[in-house]
Amino acid sequence: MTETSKHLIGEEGRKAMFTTLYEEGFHGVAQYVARRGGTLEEAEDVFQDALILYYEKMRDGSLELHQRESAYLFGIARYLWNKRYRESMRYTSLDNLMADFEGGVEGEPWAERSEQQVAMKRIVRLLQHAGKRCMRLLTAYYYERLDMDNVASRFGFSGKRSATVQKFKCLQKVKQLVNEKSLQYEDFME
Amino acid sequence: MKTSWSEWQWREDCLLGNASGEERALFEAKRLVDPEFNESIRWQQATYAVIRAYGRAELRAELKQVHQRLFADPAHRSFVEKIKSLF
Repeated sequence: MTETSKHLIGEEGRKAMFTTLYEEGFHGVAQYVARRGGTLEEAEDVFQDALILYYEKMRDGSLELHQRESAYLFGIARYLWNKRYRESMRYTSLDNLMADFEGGVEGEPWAERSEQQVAMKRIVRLLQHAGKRCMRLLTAYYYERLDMDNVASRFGFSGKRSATVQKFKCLQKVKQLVNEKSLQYEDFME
Repeated sequence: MKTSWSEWQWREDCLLGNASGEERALFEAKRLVDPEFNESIRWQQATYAVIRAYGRAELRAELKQVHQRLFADPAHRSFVEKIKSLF
């Protein structure tokens, strides 16, 4: 993660960044979608997908911009729109849709099949209601890619070590839940 | 079966690309010859996949808030009207 992207991924900085990107980039995407018979909601969906991918690349320090940010976002959104709506891949995951774009994005070997995608969505919904604190801690480390010092300070731990112990407990808890729920859904394992 | 912290960490380093080539080769070999180990690794991968999906879902919720706030903000009325006029 670069210093610039670290600065931008605090919650307030991130919201400010997204607001600016919305102001600069959403009109072009909305116009493209509208001209092809899409709705405002569909334009919102593809634009937000593009913002998610933009954020992930920025977080990883792998964003190489040779054009304005709005043009880059428009390129991703246009690609996603054509894939999702013209090729009727409406329910395909974001990773699968992006597989051919700029050499692809990092996918999940575990969740390639559509049944697995469905089961994963169910588990995510369940975790959004039960287990929020653990998931916030885990996503801070594994999704936002903060280091353990920053994780400890965000969640009020006395230090890196106690945050690491809690992270491990949370991982065990989530793994157990994934295991139990996936077996209940039965369509998980090959 | 419970996995110890150090075992989990070793597996994590191998799965997330933070292990040396030698460690990684050992890890892959163990997966090939030990079905129980391989099964346990699949669940560990599944855990990371769920965390990533959760992170994306939370980010999307943040983006929806940004969208709603912009569309409700009187200071952005002309921006919103321009967008709405397209549909």
